[in-house]
Order: sequence, then C-alpha cells, then structure tokens
Amino acid sequence: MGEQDRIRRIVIVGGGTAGWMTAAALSTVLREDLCTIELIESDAIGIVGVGEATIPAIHDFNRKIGLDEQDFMRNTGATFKLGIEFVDWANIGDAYMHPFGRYGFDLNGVAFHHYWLHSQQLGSKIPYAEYCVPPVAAKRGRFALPLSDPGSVLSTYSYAFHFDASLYAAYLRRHSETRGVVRTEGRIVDVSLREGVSGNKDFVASVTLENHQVISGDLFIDCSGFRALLIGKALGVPYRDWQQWLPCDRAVAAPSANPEVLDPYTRATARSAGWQWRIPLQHRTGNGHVYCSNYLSDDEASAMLLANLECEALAEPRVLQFVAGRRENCWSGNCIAIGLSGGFLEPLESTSIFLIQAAIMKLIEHFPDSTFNAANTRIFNESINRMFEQIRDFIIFHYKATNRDDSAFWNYCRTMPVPETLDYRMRAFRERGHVVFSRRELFIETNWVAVFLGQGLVPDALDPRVACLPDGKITNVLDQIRQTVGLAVETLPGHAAFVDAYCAAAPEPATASEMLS
Amino acid sequence: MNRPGSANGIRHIVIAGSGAEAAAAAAALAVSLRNSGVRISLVGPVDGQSRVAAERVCGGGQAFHRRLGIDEEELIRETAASYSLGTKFTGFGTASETVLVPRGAHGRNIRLVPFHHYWCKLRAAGSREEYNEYSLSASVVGSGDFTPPKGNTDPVVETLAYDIVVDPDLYAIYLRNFAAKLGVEIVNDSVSGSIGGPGGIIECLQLVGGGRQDGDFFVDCTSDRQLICVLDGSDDVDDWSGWFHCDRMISVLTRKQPKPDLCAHVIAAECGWLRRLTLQNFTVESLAFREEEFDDSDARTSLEKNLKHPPVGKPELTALRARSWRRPWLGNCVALGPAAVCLEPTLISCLQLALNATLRLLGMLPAARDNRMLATEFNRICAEEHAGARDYTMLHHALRDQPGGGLPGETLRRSLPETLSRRIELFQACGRLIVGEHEAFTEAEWASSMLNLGLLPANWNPLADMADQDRVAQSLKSFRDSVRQRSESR
Repeated sequence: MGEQDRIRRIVIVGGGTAGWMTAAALSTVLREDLCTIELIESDAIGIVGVGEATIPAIHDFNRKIGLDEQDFMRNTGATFKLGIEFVDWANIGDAYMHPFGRYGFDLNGVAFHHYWLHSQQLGSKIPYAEYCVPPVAAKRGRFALPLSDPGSVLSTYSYAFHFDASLYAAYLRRHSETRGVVRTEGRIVDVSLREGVSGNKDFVASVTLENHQVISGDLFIDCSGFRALLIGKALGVPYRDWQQWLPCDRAVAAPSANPEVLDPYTRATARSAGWQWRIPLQHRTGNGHVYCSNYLSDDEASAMLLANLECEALAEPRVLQFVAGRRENCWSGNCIAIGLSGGFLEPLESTSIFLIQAAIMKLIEHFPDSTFNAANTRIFNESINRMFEQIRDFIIFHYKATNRDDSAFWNYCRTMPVPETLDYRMRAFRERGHVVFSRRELFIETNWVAVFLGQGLVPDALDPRVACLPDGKITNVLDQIRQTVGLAVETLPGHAAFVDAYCAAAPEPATASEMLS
Repeated sequence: MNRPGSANGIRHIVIAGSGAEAAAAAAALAVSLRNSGVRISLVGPVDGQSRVAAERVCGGGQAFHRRLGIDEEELIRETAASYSLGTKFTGFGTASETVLVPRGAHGRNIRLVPFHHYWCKLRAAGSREEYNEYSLSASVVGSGDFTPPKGNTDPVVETLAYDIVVDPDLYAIYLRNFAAKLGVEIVNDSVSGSIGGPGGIIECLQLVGGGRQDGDFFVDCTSDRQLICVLDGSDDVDDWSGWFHCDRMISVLTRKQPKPDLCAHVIAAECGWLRRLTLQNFTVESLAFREEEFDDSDARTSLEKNLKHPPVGKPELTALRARSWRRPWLGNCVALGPAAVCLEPTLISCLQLALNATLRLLGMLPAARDNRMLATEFNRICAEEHAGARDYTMLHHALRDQPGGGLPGETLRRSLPETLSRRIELFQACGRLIVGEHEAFTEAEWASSMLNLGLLPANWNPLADMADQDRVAQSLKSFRDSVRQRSESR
C-alpha cells in the first residue's frame, strides 16, 4: 500500500455522544503524527443526549479505549443496571424483566426455557424470573459486580450503566483531547463536494463554518444527529422509514428528583399511545415518554409524563421529534454516518449507544484508505444494515405481542403485519420453542426467550429431549436453582451502598456545560 | 402446549444407510435421546465389505466426539485412525514448490486488527518471513510429532486445530457398536424404497428382505436418496458440477510410509489432482480426473506411475459430483451425507459435513412430524455451510490457475460462483474477508489459504500502519517464539 493512499485527516462533524465516542475510539487506534482527527461542534446546538441507559456491550467499548470504570462512573453520575423491567406491555398489570443474565443453565444441551415451560405443564407457578440472578437482585435493590468463578451462580450475570450521556460525552472529550483530537468550535454553514473515486461529485471535500473557516478532510464522520448535515443534506443518501412498524415519533423528557430507593434497573412502562422510561442516576432520575403523535398531542403526552413521575420534576419537559428508520447506506463515498444521522430506533431496549459503538467497531474493521474500495464499503453497509434490522425486529416484537385493546394505538400495533424476518423468528419459537439467532447478533437466545415469554409467546411444543429426564428430577433441579439464586442474592449489598463505595460522584455533579467551559 | 414424549410426538426415529454417516447419526440421536422413550432404529446392512477410502473428519473443536462422549484416543486406537493438521499443496498457487495450508489460526490480533494485515504489511516492506512461521499447526507438522492438547487454556495452543483421518468403514463399525450399546435397534436389511403418506411425509420404508419399517421421523443416509426421494420438492438441487473439473476418482491403498506426514497432500496433475491421506497402517492414494478426457485405465496407469509406495490390493473408482440439495429436511425426513451434499474431498469430506449437520439436528429435534419452521431453519443453515465449503474448496483450484500476482477480475467472474469471486476480489483489494457464521472454515483459515497460495492483497487495514511499530515487532516475535517453544516441547 502506498503511503500516498493513507487517510491523513479525519473530520468528525458534531460532538455529543456519537461524535466523542468516535473521536475517543479513533484516537486510540490512529497515530497522531500520521492522521489527525478534528471534531467540529457548536455549543449553540443542543445535544440530544441519547442513551442514559446502556447495555453490557459498553464494557467492551470502554475497555478497548482504556477507560477506568470507577473513574468513568464517578464522572458521569452513573449507577448500575441489571436489566429492563417492562410493565403493562402484553396486558395491563403484567411485568417482566429482560435481564443481563442467564436463566438457570442448559441441561443435556437443552436450553433452560424448555425445562421451565415443562415445569409449568407439571403445575408449577414459579415465575421464569426466579431462576435468574438479575431480576431477583433488581427487585430486592441489590447489586455487586459479578464473580469470575464459573462455579458460582454470581458469575451468570452481567451489568450495564445508567449515566448522564452529556457527561459521558464530556468525559470522552477529555480522553480524546489528551490523545490529540482537536476540537473546533463553530456552526457549519456549508458543505462542498468533490469528485470521488467513481468520477462523480459524491465525496465531501470540506465544510465551511459560520466564521468562513474551511475545514477539509480525507474522511468525514457525520455525527450531526438528526440534521444529518453530510450524509443527508449534502450527499442526499435517502432515509428508510420504519414508521409502519414503529409508529412512535415523539418523546418528551424531564428529569425528576430521586426516590428513596436507587433501583439497579431501567423501567419501561407502556402507556396508551407509547411508553415511559425511568432511568435512575446518582443525582437524578431520567424520565421520558415516547409516543405517537397520531394518537396523542404533545401537551397530553407531557401531562401524562408529569402525572406519572414518582418525585418532583427538576426541569420543564422537552419534546423531541424523530422518525424510526435508517439511512439507506451509512457509508457513502468518504462519509460515514454514526449515531442519529445514520438511523434512529427508540430507546426501548437501550440500544442507542450500542448502535454508535458497533458502527465505530465496524469502521475500525473496515478502515479505508483514500482509494475507498467499493467492496469494503459495501460490506460495512451490509453489516450495519443487518444490525439495525435485527434490533428493529426485537423492538417491534414488544409492540406486536400484546393483548391490549384499550386504545387505538394498541389496536394498530396488535394487528399490524410485522417484517418477515421477525415473523420467521416468532413462528419458529411458537412451533417448538426454537430460537433463531446468530452469535454475531446483539440479541441472542437468552434475550429473545426473556422477551418472548415475557410478552406471552408460548411454544406449541418443546424440545423432545426434555423427556430424557424424569419429571421429578427436573422439578428438583429447578428448585435447587431457584434456591441458589435466592440465597446468593441475599449476600449482595444494596445498590445505593455499592454505588457509594464504588463510584460516588462529587456531591454536586457538574453539568455538562460547566465541564465543557 | 404439547407435553414432551406425548402420543402425537415423535416416538420412533429410523435412520437408513450403511455408511459412517448413518452410524454417526444413530449414535448421536441415541446419546441425545437416552431415557426419553424415543425408539431409534438403524436400517442398513452390515456387509463387512471394506472400501478403499480415507476421510478427514472433525476439524477444529472435535465437537462431534465430545458431544457424544467418545474418547478420542480410544477411537483413534480402535479404528487405526490418524491426525492431520492441514493440507500440503504441490503445484498450486504461484509457487511451484510445496506449501502447507495448516488448520487453525496464525498469530494473534493486535489492537483490534487481525494478524494477517500485519504480516502483509511486513511482507510489502520486504520481509521474507513465511506466513506459516506464525502457525502452531504448521510447526507441529514440521516436527512430525503430535499429541492433541488436553484441557488447554494457553492462547497460543488455542490457535492449533487438527482433523482426524479415519477409514470410513472402521469408523462406521465403531459408531454402530457405540449406538447398539445405547439401545439402537440394528436392522440388518436394506431399504428398497419409501412410501409417502398424506401431507408430504414418509409413512414407512420398504425393505429388500420384504418387510416394512414404520417410523415417525426418518434420517436418509443412503447414497441415492432412497427415503427422501418420495417427497415433493426432493429434486430441488443446486448442481455445481460445472464449477469443478474432475468428476471421477480412482483410489488405492499403499503401504504405510515410514514416517507419515501429519497432513494431507494434494498434488496438481495434468488430468486433475492426486491426493495422499495417511491412516495408521496404510496410505490412501487417489487420482481425480475428468471422465470425458481420461478413461479409467489411463487413470489407473497414471495413478500407479505416481504411487510413492507399493499398492496393497486393487484400485477402486468412485464418482465425484458436486451438488447440494436445497432442502435436505423435508416433511419428516432429514437427509445427511451424500443424500444432502456431494463435494470433492480435497479439503473437507462429505462425512464431515454430515457430522456437522447431525450436531445441528440434535439442537433442532422435531416435536412433531411436520415441524416446518425447524426444517426451514435447518435447511437455511445447511445451505450456507455447503456453499461455504464449495467456495473454500474451489478457492484452491482458482489459485492454481493464477498467472502470478493475483487473479484478473474478468477470469474470476467468468469461472467462479459470485460469492467466491466476491471474496477473492475483496481480499485482493484490501485483505478483508467475508465468512458466514455457519461455514466450516474460519476467516483465519481463508486468509491462510490465500496467503500461502500466493494471493497477496494490494492493501491491508491502514490501522496496521498506525500501531506502534516496536510493539508490533515485539508481539510478532513473542508469538513466533512461543510457536517454536510449544512445538519443541510437545
């Protein structure tokens, strides 16, 4: 490879979570003297601050860029998260958890849910959740780091974080700047294109700031959020709309004071035309109401949100608009969209930050040179598109698998046709409890089963190998697992106490804008 | 929800076939369904006839034997099997000399970038270090001495992978006995046909001896699809024979070499290719050719001329046909082995593909005679694996013809399946690989074949240039040293 083909200047358009995660990761793998990274952001433009709740995959990202967990948690007001509790989804009054952990264990190579379902056939009424550490610990408000000893039931779970996404961005900014990333303050007013490798004018040449400064680069990362300055406005890559399956198009958010107990989990409560999140941080609780504007006005949505807060609101509700979907291709020419410019899926399964992280890791895997090999770009796009679609299907399932008929919104969701890929998974599970999944996907067998069963999708038949064990033996093993889980959780400290000892933030955590000034 | 073991479920599984695939399926089902009350029968003659053949099975994880609880050392001892850690190619690739394509992985990733990018970078900078210096499998083949690692946690040893070379007849006998001990009923008769029932299922089998064999679910391991052919859609086949030059193979046993290679050997011949596979007591030498260019007696003469050691017994002819049935599982019948896929045995055997499919079936055992979703999903995964094995096998033939310094895109698109030409072009351009989740060969093995056979990418991941070069050199050296140490201490 000729040195002349090397990418020498990377321009990241937009700060926020996506921009600073990208800067932090690229600055860890690129050499400052060979390739510069410049990030342009404007203090005048608000950060959407997606995220707040994460999934365990974030450990992988933080480890790869070299963050210290305790330090990062202290600086972002972070708490621990063992899963997501879904309330009122399949029926009003129902609740289940999608936990970060394994249920029971496989016996004779047969997945645990077959044995649990069989125990229900035998008359047991014990909920699925009692065979899994995180739901039990979450409900008792307990938390400790998992153990590494595979012999202990306390090694069967993982965890994620609730944090302040703007503080996370600020933290990553400091991390990136010490690794040579240059931040330029300014608002972009123009984007100019140049001839790309195909001879068409489809590469970004430079961006122009309000103060007439022109910033050019070899590779542009579009982290400009919903505005999609480069990938959308300048390059015209179309957006594929998924509103037919995910009709929610607004969210109204408001922080509230913390209740007395600090829960180690996210809660997602279904409402008449959407759902409401509750994310406990150290210094406040994040709340938001995701809804569909066809069925609910902004005022009604805000009023519902405020009426359902556990403690006093700490700020006025703020409304956001969005369209579920993704960019036709996130990588076009010399521009890669990461974050909301590339696509949006509502945060029902806390996947926003994961989508950013996965795009960054794919970019590292397919990092280009200035010849921008088309096949390399295509593979990147194919895998990003697949990832969006898998997560989309997982989220759609929550809406589809419901018995609710108490509102026009739920009547629509319950009866809507779903994507063929999701229908396929649902039919396979219904037929014989088989989970179609790939180890390369984010959601694997245990995730699908938790949500399938939680939303009431019950198989018509089970794995015939369940019959290899006598019923009495299965009952005994299940009892033992449940007892072991219960006893082990009792040994864990309370979540608030653990946070205090492990990563308590300064008494008055700085706001994002204070830290940036 | 139906109860497991209920009356409308699968109460009786019948496997038909006389080869190792049938015995393996019977043994695997017997282990998986022990004490479940499901009856398992194996219909196939015990003819005691032995063929001239050797097959490589169980690359990498030895997952099949582990799953069945088979002691591999005992298996090797009782079936006079041996190990193979790769394939030597002579007359393939750009080089005329012999190159080894080892199983397993080379080197270790550095800073999120796969190892081969670093090697390509060094190569372009003038290094003449062999790629195989970073392969423990290759190093073991070089030392000529191998004992499989046990309970290993050493990351360098984890890069090692090996196959077992079996005599399929002895392997079949071993697995048949294993299955019989677990209560599989052995029916010493042959299938003459199957009778279909309403709804696209098989009702029962007809036996040569005149009887009939009932069952709820059937496994077709016959060589001519005697069971499944009664079902609608069973003729839905992807014919790949146009992609492969050779359609016939002649094999003979020769006396054991004094120090047998720990790998297979494939040699380019004018009419096709020669292959040597070593068992404990014999070597099987085969010549593959194209029937319309070469008649059987020419082939025999040519094979005998090329033998390294004196033959034992008579040569045998077999047909080579490349094809894959789109739906190996139809209704209440699953085809495994040659009834599902046929491929020339240069790099992977049909037996190996049958074992992989058997393991897959164990995780997808039906609860009723018409579990169509299970069948659809099973077929989807098999199709990916079969096409992947075809591409990997063809890759080596494609690289045999390269004029040097890579393949022109035109040639690729004309003479190869689109999936393979896409993989080769991508690798040539930037060293990236596309390998599906269910493929039998890993990304590292694809890279190893391409690099060892002289397909060097024009570019690699630029991040390989961005790493601290002293640290990279240090990492490479420490891996190379560990490879030497591990293979010496074995």
